[in-house]
Amino acid sequence: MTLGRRSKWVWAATAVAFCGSAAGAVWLSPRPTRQPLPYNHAAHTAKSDCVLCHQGSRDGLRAGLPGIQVCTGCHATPPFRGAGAPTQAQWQAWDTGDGDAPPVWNRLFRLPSHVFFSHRRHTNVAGLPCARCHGDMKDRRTPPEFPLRTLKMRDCIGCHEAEKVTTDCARCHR
Amino acid sequence: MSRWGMVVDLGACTGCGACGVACRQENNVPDVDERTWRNGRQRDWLQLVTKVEGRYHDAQVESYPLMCLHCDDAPCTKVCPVGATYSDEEGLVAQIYDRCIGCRYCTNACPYSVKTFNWLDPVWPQGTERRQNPDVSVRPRGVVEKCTMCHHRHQKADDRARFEGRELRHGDYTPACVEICPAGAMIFGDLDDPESEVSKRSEDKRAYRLMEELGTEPKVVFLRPHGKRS
Amino acid sequence: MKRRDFFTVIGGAAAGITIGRAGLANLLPPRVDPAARRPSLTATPSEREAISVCGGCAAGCSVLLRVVDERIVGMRGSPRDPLGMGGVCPRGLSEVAAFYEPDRLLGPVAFSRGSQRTAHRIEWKAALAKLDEPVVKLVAAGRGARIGVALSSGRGVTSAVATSVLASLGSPHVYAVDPLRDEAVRPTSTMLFGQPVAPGYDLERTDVIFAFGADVLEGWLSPSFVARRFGRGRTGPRQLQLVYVGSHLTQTAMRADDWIRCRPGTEATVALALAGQLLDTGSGSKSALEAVAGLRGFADEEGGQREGVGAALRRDYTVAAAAQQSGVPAAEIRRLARVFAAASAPVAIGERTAGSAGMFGLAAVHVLNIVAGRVGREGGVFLPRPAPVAALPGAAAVPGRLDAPPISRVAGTSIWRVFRELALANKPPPFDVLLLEDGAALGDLGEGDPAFALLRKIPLIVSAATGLDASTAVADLVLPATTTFEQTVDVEPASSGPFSAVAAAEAAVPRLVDGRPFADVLLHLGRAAGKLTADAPKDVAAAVRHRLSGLASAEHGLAYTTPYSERWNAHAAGRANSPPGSDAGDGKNADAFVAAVLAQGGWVDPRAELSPPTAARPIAVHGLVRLRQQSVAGLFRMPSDERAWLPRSEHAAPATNPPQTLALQPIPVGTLNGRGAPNRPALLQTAAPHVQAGFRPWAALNPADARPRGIANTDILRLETAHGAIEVEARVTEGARPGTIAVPWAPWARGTGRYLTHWTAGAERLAQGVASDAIGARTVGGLPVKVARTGRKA
Repeated sequence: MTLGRRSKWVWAATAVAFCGSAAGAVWLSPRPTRQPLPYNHAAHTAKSDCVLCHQGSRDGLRAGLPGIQVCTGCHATPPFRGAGAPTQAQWQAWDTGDGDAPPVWNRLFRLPSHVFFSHRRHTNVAGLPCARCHGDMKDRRTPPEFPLRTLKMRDCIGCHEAEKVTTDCARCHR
Repeated sequence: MSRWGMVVDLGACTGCGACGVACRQENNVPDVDERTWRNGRQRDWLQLVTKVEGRYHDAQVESYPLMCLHCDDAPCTKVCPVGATYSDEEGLVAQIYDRCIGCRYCTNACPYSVKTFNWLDPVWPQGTERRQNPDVSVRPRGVVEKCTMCHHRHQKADDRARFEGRELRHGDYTPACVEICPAGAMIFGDLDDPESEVSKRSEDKRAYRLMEELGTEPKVVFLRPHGKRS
Repeated sequence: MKRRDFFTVIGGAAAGITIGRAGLANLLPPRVDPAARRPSLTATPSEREAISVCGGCAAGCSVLLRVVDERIVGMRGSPRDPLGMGGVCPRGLSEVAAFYEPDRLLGPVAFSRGSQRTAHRIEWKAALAKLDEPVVKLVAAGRGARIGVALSSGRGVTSAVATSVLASLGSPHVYAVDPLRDEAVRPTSTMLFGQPVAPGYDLERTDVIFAFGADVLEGWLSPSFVARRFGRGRTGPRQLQLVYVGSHLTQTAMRADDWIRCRPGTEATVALALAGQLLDTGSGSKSALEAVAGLRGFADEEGGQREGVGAALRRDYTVAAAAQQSGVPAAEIRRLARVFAAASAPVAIGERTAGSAGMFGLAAVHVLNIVAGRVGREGGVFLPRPAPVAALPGAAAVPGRLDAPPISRVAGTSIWRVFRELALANKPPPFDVLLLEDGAALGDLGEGDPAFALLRKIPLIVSAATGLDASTAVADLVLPATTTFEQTVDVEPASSGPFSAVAAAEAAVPRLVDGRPFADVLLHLGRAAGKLTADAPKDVAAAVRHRLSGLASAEHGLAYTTPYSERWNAHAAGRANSPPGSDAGDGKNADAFVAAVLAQGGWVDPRAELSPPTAARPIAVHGLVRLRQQSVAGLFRMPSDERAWLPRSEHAAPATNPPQTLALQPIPVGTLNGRGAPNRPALLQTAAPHVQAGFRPWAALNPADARPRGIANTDILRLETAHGAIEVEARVTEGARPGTIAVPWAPWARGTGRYLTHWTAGAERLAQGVASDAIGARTVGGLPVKVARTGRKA
């Protein structure tokens, strides 16, 4: 590569383009979502159903995420050790509701506010399995940092058309 | 399928405006400063219209709550270039914010001036966003909005009915204005159900529709007040 | 640029994108969507409906709040509420917005006195210590009567706690100010019915309402109660009629079947002419007249003979005289008398919320009710009976109230009119410590009022307002109260039908800011002074439960149930009664009964007890004369005229106005004023007809008056009276009687609300020095107003 062939302005422009694009790409990339506790889906789904923790997924509009008391209800002691693990005292405080603010899960799937989506209509009435939209969590040992499936409106419409269910805009948009 | 309509008995209406206030709360309608209001740049979804006509000695008053009348033959639906406003399966004229490009063709086509365009970003002073109804979106600047007959309540009521394995019952779905009216002047229901109060009252001899001659076939029917005006 | 150079730059960009996407992002901390951090979105969502009592005014409607993730996002009326029966007035609904008002005080505030009032936040402990100090000193010195409280919340736990705590401290000074009732109401009741109790109107069973300048559909009394009964009357078989006698096409007039256009201030004249007609034509109720004292000639206190009110009516208030004074044609007056006589259950209403009808104005309208036998009858006027709540333990009532003789002329006079009298007599303030529940407790006290100057001399003023309002503008200390949604509360609705009721509910939501119930502050004071007994309630929730427990042993009454349902009707007819706990299905358990009352929103005894007057306990219209005796000119500030001693407006306009003036008609914005917070909730800042200008007060006048003055719509006018001047926007309308000008009555407008900076003074500024009759009420209809253009436009 002969530097002299191109003017320094070209290299300057290239450098600016490089930095700008890199910064832009970093800024616009989806950021990973990290959870406060290293929840292991695989260890739990063998024994129980999604609805144990996502308590609205069968009977509610929103599936929801479990409060820490769902965990302390089964686990008498903190279920993991190592970095970031709570102490026994802290775990018990979360169980009774005293003490510091308990850990709060960060949402992976965020429904836009202009969409009405009823989980129970899809799981309970239509009988769809959770994995159909959310991907299969049963083998995940760590909390996913990105949604296993990114859902766009065309995914909803595609399924509705295939199943011959209404695609009337006003049924879901609000 | 139901065909939703409303009857407003102007003989019972006291003009208190609770319907308009309920609508604003239910639908996250933002506040607006005076200058914007005066310039006609923001309207409520439900306005209380009051007109005094004639001369002092025989002044005629017309006062009524005015919201989208969900016309069966709605002019606004005919001019939307992108299909953001259309008549849905149950007769409600829907407004889909995501499709709206803000051309305001529909706002101009509406003879009742019940559609409003968001010229400005909505302003929610700090902390007040807590009272926003989570069932309704907060519209951005650049889209048209109007009364939806609290369609979000229908979405929830229908979902509940299907979940419970039954049909929608009378009273399951009521818009906020009808629910709040302290005079009980508003009736809402299925116009296609001959047993419903709304279909019976809409045939009342006092019933009239606004600008009926335009052929829009509005589904909100007003009942003229009783008696004479002196 | 050459192609190679272009590709070089593009290549750089592509390389950047690749590097960026490849994993540089992982080196940066994960971005978390702020929305995702809200616990409400991560935990299982919660939604519930909580019952509460609306605190928008003293009416006490029972409401259901929609609470999602512990946020209030909606309200509807409780279908069991006997007032609204499921409806809510606009003011009530706006309490949802008021709850989250961005200018709501976060905690106690102390203001420094002097030319620069500066505020600083203080902790509750320090704030209460500032209040305790003077109170404890006063009580220890036996001067507890130097402590006073002014309330705006009507009868309920707060007033009961205030009364019992202050009695323990040795003070009788607990005064109620109700912004939704005419201030002349209680003194007039004292005069006519012998007790300072505001009457009620049995609107459920009325067939014709004659509103004499009374803005009954505009935030009057209990807006929910009136609206519901009006609606029921209009949609039912009875076809309720409304006749409005007044000078402007107000909201009430617009919905009336008949608008009787009279000069401002002459409504009472028309009422008396109707009464005279009923007596003349013998259409008055003969049996009712037996129970009226003073209608015929009687001996006054000095032993002199007086002609009866009846004779004076027939002489001074003939149809012709009333027509001449009011401008209503004689034929119309005769027709109205026929309508009133022919109705089976008419009622005449004179109370107003924009200014006062005055004692005589109200008495005049009641004379019509009295002569027609409408007092204590179905569909008419009645004196409400209080609910048999248990009294709070504590000392008995202390004598020496300021709003009763000998200090006031008539029992029930507004405390601020008493202050005015004291100020004009150069007396010192009667209190060293004054607690104000909020701005509404100051009524329509304006800056120019002599009472205001006296108020400012009080060494310590404490306000319990939740935001900046008229009370915090004078307070040294603000101890923000909780809203009714945030505390256990009970309110006895005073403005309802002839049933007795108590609305009650537990706290619906946790406290949003660091406020405390006003009742708790008062209980604290009592304990600090060491004067509360051991069985005194420890807080407002205990006080409410104690009061409700008294209902458990009442023979009649039940927890709120759907009005006019089978169950209600059975109880109303006395065919059912409620032993304690019956609502909870348990025969004898008072605790379960109280719990059921709280869960259902309140308690009601649906039996209507109208207490018609009898010959043994008559209505006394000769009280009019008794008062008159004391000093004609001084007392009533009316021209001394022996014959015309019956009610007449101070400002009754002669046949032609003084040149260049228009007669004032004050217009209520009652629904929007409610508790008097000038920082009106955002939800009310809507273009409803009451405030069609949206954000400014206005002046409505007829084109016949506007044209000669060159006035067009939206011109800014300057209005001036002998008492004050204002600038308002013109609204030219045919709905205005020529020769008159209608201006909203906005005593709490201080312009601190976000969008309310243009809501300046209204009719109350034009009338601030006016004090009519024995109680100093502000009767302003007909006040001559000079009108001029300023040249500006709104």
